Amino acid sequence: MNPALATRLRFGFAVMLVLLIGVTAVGVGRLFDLRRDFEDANSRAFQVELAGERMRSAFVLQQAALERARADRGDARANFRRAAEVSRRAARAALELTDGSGSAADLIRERRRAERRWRERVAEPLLRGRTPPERTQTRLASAVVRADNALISGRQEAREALRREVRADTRSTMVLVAAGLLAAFLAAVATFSGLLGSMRRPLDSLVAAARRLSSGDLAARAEVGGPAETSQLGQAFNEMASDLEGSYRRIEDERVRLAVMVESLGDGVITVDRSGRIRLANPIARRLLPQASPGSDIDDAIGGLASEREILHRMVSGGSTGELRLVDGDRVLSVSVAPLATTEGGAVFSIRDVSEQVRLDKMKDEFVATVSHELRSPLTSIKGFAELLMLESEGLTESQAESVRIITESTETLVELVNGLLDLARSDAGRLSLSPEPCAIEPIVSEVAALISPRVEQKGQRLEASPRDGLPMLFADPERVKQILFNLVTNAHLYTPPGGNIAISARVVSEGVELSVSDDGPGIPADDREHLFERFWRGDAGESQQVGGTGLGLPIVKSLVDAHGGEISLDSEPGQGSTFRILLPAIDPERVPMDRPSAERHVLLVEEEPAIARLLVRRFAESGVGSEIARTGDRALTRLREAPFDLVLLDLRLGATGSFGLLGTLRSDPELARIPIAAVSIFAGREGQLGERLVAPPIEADALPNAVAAMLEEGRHPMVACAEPRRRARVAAAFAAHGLQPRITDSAEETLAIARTAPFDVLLIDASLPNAAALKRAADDGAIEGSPPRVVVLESSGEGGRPPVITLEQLVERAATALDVAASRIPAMPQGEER
Amino acid sequence: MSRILVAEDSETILLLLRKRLEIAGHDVVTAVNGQEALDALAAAAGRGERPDVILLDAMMPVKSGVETLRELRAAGDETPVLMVSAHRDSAEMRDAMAAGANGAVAKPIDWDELLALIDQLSG
Repeated sequence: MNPALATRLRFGFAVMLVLLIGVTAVGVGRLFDLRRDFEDANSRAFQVELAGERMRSAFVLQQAALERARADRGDARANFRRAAEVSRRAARAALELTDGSGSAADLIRERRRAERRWRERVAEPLLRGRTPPERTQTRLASAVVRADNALISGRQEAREALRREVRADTRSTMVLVAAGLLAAFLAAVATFSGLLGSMRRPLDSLVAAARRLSSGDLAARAEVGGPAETSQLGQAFNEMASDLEGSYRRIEDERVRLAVMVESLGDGVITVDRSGRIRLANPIARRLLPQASPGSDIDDAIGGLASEREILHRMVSGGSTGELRLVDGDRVLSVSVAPLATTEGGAVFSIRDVSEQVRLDKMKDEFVATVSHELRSPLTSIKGFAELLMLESEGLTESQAESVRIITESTETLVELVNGLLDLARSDAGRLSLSPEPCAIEPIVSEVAALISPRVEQKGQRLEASPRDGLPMLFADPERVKQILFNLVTNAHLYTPPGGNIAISARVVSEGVELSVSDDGPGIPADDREHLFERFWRGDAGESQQVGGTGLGLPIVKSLVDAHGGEISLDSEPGQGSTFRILLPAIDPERVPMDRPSAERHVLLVEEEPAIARLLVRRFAESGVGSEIARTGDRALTRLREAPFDLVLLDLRLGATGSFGLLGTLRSDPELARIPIAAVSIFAGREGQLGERLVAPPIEADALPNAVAAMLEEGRHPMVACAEPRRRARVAAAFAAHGLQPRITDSAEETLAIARTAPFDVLLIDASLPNAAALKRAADDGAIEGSPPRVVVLESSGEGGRPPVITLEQLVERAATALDVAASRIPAMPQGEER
Repeated sequence: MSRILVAEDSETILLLLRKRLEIAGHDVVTAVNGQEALDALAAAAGRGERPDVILLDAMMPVKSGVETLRELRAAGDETPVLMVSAHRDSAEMRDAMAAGANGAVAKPIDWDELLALIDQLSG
């Protein structure tokens, strides 16, 4: 790998620094040398010049001494010799300074020779008294003077030359240093540009690759090279590009796979954007909804069919999950909508043609209804005539009477079978109708005991049915509870040998009330337990015994218990007997105050029969509820328009306008629609159909007051709870525990349908419903007519449609807050007793 | 003792109804469909022998029980009507109740219930 950029830079700096220091040092050294040499030479030239001066003055002294010597002065000769010696020494010193060579040395020697010649030919003769010709004297003396001058001026010139020379050298040295520095600078520039150059190519390539990558060319790669940094950068970039390409390819593969899947799906799939414009529609979707082509509006594609266009719209724009059915003539489409949790938003519609399923369901229902109807007619005849025979049995022999009895019993079994099958078919279709209400346990148990006791006694068995006092009321359909208990007791009776014991008991548990039916029969082997709730499965009660029964009892019990949101369990020890326990929702007695002021309540009794009307007035008065009688429907309407009433108690047998006419009028009148209506009817258990509470005559001790109390509460706070069907009973029980009895629906469609006919104030939505969110929004946005209902949503939690009790409790608390109902204001049930 | 008009398409059940009602002491007039029942009513009215209670089978040929009931009520006849049907809670029964029926019994017939209802309606 190439050295790192930092290393290179450091190295470059170091080299440049060394070069600079080197060049500078050499320059400075050379300047120093030049200066020193110059000063040496200068000083030597100066001393030579000094020596010249000294020789000149020594020559002058010699001439002077010579003059005096001619005048014959004694010491003149010695002075002359001394001066000559000085001159010689000076000449010698000067020669030493010049090392005996060079022009200076020549001049010095020339001077010495000139002096020597002067001394030999002028001075010596003069000293000896001979006078050389004047001309010679002058010539030789001036030769000396000339030599002197030459030496001195030569030295001055030499010094001048030296100065010039050193100046030139200094200049050249400076130039050299400058050149060196320039060279070092150039070297540095070259180094850096080299470095930059080595980086530029890979960087340029990287930039180009990045541009290509961003413009979508996923194959773009950068050239790896240059210093470590850029090559690492290039590698990293290339890895990133590879990853990107891989991811893109995977996404692309996934997209293709998804597209193929969507195209080949058996269901129609449509995706829409936030504004509801169709982005994609697979072939099935285009076949089911021909207008569903990409680019068109989802409303146009299916809105024309949607029975709940509003809901659809909200689901698209609001991004909630939901389901709805589109009905177009014979065709039924099931559409489920899920929000697209992407930044763009939108939704996915999946569409299934359920026409066939709906048709089959309908066929099955019709088949069951027809079969049971067709069976009933002959059964009616058989049973009826057999009973007729029994009535007229005087003319029959004993054997014939026995035959008639067997026919009658078998027919009863057959009737049970048909009823059981019908119940199970309804339960399968989710249409087992329950009318849960607060109901006391004791009367139910007593009635069941009374029904079964003849058979029990006939078999020599003992039945103990004495539930403790003070049990809370169940929140259940009393008829169905009766059916459950009757089936369980019948089973115990059938499977327990003569002389055995059967017991019905009840106890309070945290979730409600547990009813149990136990026997001391043979028990149920562990292997059989898993089959217990299978249809037509019958246990073996021992070889000697012939067990009757239809084999439908326990399956029906189970579906009824399930419909109540209850639980069923079995304890059995072979040889020790069996105990079936059923857990049913109950009303917490502490939550329902039993004595509350209700004088301000006012009930209108619409009753033709004066005796019954009087009875009712008395009963209400006992409970502290004011009441007033209207003998006819017209009178009732007049009174209802005149004065506020909390409840209308309507006898469905009313003549004249007819009770149903009155019911219809009340329902369609916006002013009166909110008044709850309790109907007294000879048809029990049909509240669901009329949307009202009914009480069946003979008016039972608790049924009417309970219904009335419930209706009063409803009237005070009209409320609808929309809950998932399996939760229905539990939700109802939780509300009942607070004395609240909401109308319970199980779909958004049904809720909206109710909203159109009977306004309500509070809507509770079970969040586990498929279109809970859409319904909530619909309610929030005032899609429900009348005053916008307050909405409370029950959080979905847990599995299998069994919300934890705590969540329900919280829901109820919230509902209670919404309703502004203090616990003390919940009306208690008037506990009047009919005598 | 009441006068009862019974309309039922099944002859055996008609026979059964007649016998049981007669044993209970009632006076029974029969018809095998709704139209016959209406005719019989008109004839009875002519004689001044209006029935106290009318039993109508829900499903009958020519004219069903519900249709018969509607015509009856539309004509202003408020004679108590009991529907006889295989199902107590069916669409027909809802229609019948809305049309002004006074009660219903399911098949197979609980005679005690039927006789009690008749007593209640005719009393």
